[in-house]
Amino acid sequence: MNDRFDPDIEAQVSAVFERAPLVAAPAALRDAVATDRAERVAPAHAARRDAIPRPLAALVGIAAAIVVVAGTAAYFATRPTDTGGHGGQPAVATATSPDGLKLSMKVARTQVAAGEVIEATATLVYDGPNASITVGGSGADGVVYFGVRQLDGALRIDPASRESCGSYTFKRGAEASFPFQKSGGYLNEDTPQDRFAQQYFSTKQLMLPAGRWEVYAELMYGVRECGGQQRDVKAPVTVTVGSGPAPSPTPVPSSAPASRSKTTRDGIMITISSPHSTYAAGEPIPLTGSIRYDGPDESLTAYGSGMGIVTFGFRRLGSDVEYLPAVTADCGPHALQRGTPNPVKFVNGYSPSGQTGDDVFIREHDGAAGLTSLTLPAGSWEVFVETDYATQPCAAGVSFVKERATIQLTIVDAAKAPVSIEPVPTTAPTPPATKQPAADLRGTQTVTTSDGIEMTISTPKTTYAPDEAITVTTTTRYAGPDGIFKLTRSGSGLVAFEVKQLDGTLTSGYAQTADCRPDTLVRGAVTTIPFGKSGGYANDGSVSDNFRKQYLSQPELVLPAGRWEIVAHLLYGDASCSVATRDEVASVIVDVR
Amino acid sequence: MVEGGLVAGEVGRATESAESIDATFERLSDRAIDRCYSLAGYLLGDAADAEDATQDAMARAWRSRETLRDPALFDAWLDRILVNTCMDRMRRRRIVRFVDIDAGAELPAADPFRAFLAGDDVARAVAQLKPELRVVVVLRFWRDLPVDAIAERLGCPPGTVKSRLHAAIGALRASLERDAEEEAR
Repeated sequence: MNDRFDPDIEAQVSAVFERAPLVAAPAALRDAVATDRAERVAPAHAARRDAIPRPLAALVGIAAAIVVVAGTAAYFATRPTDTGGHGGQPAVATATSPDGLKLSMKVARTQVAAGEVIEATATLVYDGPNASITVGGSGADGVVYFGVRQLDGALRIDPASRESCGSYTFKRGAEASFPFQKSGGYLNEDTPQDRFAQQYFSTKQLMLPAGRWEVYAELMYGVRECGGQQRDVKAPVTVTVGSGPAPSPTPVPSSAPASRSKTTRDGIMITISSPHSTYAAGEPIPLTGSIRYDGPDESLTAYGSGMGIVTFGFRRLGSDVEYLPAVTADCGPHALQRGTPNPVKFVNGYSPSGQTGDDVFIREHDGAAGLTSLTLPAGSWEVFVETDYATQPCAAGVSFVKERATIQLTIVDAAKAPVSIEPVPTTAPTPPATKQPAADLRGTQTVTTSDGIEMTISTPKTTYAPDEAITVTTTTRYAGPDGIFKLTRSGSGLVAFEVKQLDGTLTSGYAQTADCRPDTLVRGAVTTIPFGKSGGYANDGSVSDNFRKQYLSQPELVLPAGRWEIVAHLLYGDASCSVATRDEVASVIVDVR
Repeated sequence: MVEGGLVAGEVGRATESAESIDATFERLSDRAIDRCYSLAGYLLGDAADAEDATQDAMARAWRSRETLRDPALFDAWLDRILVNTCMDRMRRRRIVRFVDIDAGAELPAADPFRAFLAGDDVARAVAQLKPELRVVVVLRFWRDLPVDAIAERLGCPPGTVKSRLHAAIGALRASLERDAEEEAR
């Protein structure tokens, strides 16, 4: 294979990298990796370490407007000291940066009732060797940020900051006080996290749902100036929120429907569907199953349990324990006519294949109560229909065909959910998108990934004035072979935007948070993605940096004169977050003059 | 011996039980951590970022260890996770700041990657490459991998790697020529 390109340059690069040493990993990194393994790495662990590209723009209510600051961040292990605080006692946690800035987080009480305001304040004092210290910060209050994290669940609010960065000086010994202030963002998605975030940001005061929470202050700044080496220390206090009044039995609002089909080698298609993908714990889950023969013959006789050759089952996501119904082993015949769907009824009376803490809940809410619909405890669940049949009467040596169609449901604990949950009108199944006729092909482009995800970006026209806001419309639609498509994406969203100057060198870049969220696309559902800015700048005074700073400073898309490409990046990965992030782009070109 | 130092016997042992998979994983990842940290460092140009990326990648790998069907492919598999982690960081960060050579006196002594990437015209030019191009250059010239192995780690066809290498070499040449012209003025 010839992979030689430019021998001269290659030789230079090769010579440079021959001098690049193998650098031993620091002991702290080895320890951290070993600790991760010892803890068996809880799923949220990596994200909990606050991936460095954190959202910095004022994000509340704005989808996917994420900004990161260029440069590096040092996460160092100044272990915070938590003085505890029991019952209704106050508590203080402190953490000190290597530069001598001491952050303290105080809460008035560590135990509050649901709906009760949590009084929290941070203080900052410089205790270093100099008379004062000057740093750069972008928080709403300069360098101090606040956030919350559910300790007995996955809800969290990470702080955000302003797009601009200011200079702050702290004199030695002078204490500055910072009342708890909310910042952060959400994505207008129908997920428990986003509903929590919307509820969180609906009031200025800090109130949290029942459970154990980490309420923290975080000190983040650039050493000496904006863009300097980043410091990041956190002072967390644990607060327990009591259950309070009984939660409303109101079910979780409508979410995208869940549906999945699988076809066996004999042409038998099994389908499972549910009108929603999110339910409250204890809420009956409507399930529909069907079996249909679509093979080459007029009919097919399948042999299996006399209770039916299709059964429902369910399993907590990540668990090996499956709940399967008891079936008879009589191997009865079941005649299937080609093209005729046969509904499958949900049958209760499940027993687990192993020990699990869900048993009691399921017995109480399903089998023992004699219900005819499924109810599940909070968490992520796979619910499936499974067919297990033979095409010949059962006898020794006859092989059985087993196939399973699975949907994923999210069950929210009503007691821990926000008090009031409103439906979020985001993704709804609609007929397939019809591409708008474009008089000028530069004004629209569609890209389709190999997985069947279509993304279309368009602008209503292709010429704009220098002070004119450019409207960009972007939609995504899954048009693949399955009913749903599971993926993972950044918490910032599935699509990120950037602009590139075609007759110059300016680019905005783009940024996304480094978390990895599961997401599901329903076949045919069209989602409109609002244009959002993201990216970063270094305050280095360069032309390109000034452009990025200007670009990020205003919500509208207004560009200087020139020819520009507006690019939408469709960024997603597989369900395990372990393979390459796909980056498919669609773009439009506009002239500004 | 296969790439990464895994011997055939270890493969067999690794498949015997879940416990031995964990043990094998730990041994292999402990052995690979310096290489991973260095690779991340030369990709990201910053020791602190490299630490974070390496820890993230190791955590991802650990969580997904049971998806690794053939432990003989451990190195390539881990590299791929690490490269993806670094690519994500580079894309999100986009702007990678490297200190000018004139400012070398202020370089933190503890950051060998910054020092290396700031210490030579060619290295600085590499540091300025777009993430997609920088990755192939580092894998090709530091990791000393052939095109096919790079493609395996990036999850793309070898032709894509070649075209990116071609583009990277072209960009490096242009950058070095530009530097030379500015110096001549």
